[in-house]
Amino acid sequence: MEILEPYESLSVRAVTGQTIRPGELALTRRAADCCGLGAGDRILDVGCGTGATADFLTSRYGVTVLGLDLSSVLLADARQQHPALKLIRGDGMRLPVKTARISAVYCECVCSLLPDAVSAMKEFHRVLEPDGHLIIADLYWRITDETMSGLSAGTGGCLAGAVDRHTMLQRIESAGFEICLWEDHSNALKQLAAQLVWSGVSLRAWWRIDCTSDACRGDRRPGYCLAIARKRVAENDPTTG
Amino acid sequence: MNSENVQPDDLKWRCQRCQCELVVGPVTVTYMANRFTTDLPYCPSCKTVLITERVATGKMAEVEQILEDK
Repeated sequence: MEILEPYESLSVRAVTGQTIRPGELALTRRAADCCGLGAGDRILDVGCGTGATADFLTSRYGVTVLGLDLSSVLLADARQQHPALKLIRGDGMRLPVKTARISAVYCECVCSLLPDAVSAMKEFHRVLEPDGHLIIADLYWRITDETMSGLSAGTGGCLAGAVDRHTMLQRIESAGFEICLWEDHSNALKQLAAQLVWSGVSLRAWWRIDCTSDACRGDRRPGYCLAIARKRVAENDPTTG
Repeated sequence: MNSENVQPDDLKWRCQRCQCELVVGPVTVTYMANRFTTDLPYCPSCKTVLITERVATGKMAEVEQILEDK
């Protein structure tokens, strides 16, 4: 599957580490601390990859984690490295999880890869228990004006599904969440992008955009963010019982 | 070893101070509080690193563009 190829690549993972995303586990830890995760919490890691987040949360916070990923290659690696973790192959837009059973959903550098992030948000809402947390760390466009349509068109990889901050927050709120935190962590993206370039990975080929061109200067560039939201519970929400 | 940044001709250089032939190995590069490790030629005695024009105007320039918010 073309969209998974860079992440399954050993040469890319040699640079990114097992988390295969900017920031490694720093934002994972930040979100867990902000949400007060601990023993008894049930976590769903959407796009768990090689299991790095699931392993970290289990060992550091004592939570129970279910990891889900579309890549059989990454899951095979994950099962070999972390045989005790519960990991399944699945689609982030059709979660094989019962309603209102999850304390927190982690979606790290995944939403921008989903064909229908809006539907995925609704699924995340469904599986979360009342007041459960949605944690999204992802690429976003650091500009919101009309010129965005020209900049994002024709991009590839995880950049193809990236949106600006306003759109991201609107999608989250429309799915029934209340925003608790939004932070820019673009320096993590810059660090990883630069290391990939040094290591011979072509960002021009991966993202199909030239970040050194005049069309992509300053805040007209992709950034990286952390968003944490809490599931709002409506009076007629069937999940509250 | 990542040989992307090193060409055979790069190893024909000799350190003038130490009169040593250059070797290739991991070098840590720091720019704007960001640290990167990549294989580059350097003198095994005084550790002076060779940055060729190709690397300076190629990957190093691209990395600077990525890191600088200009």
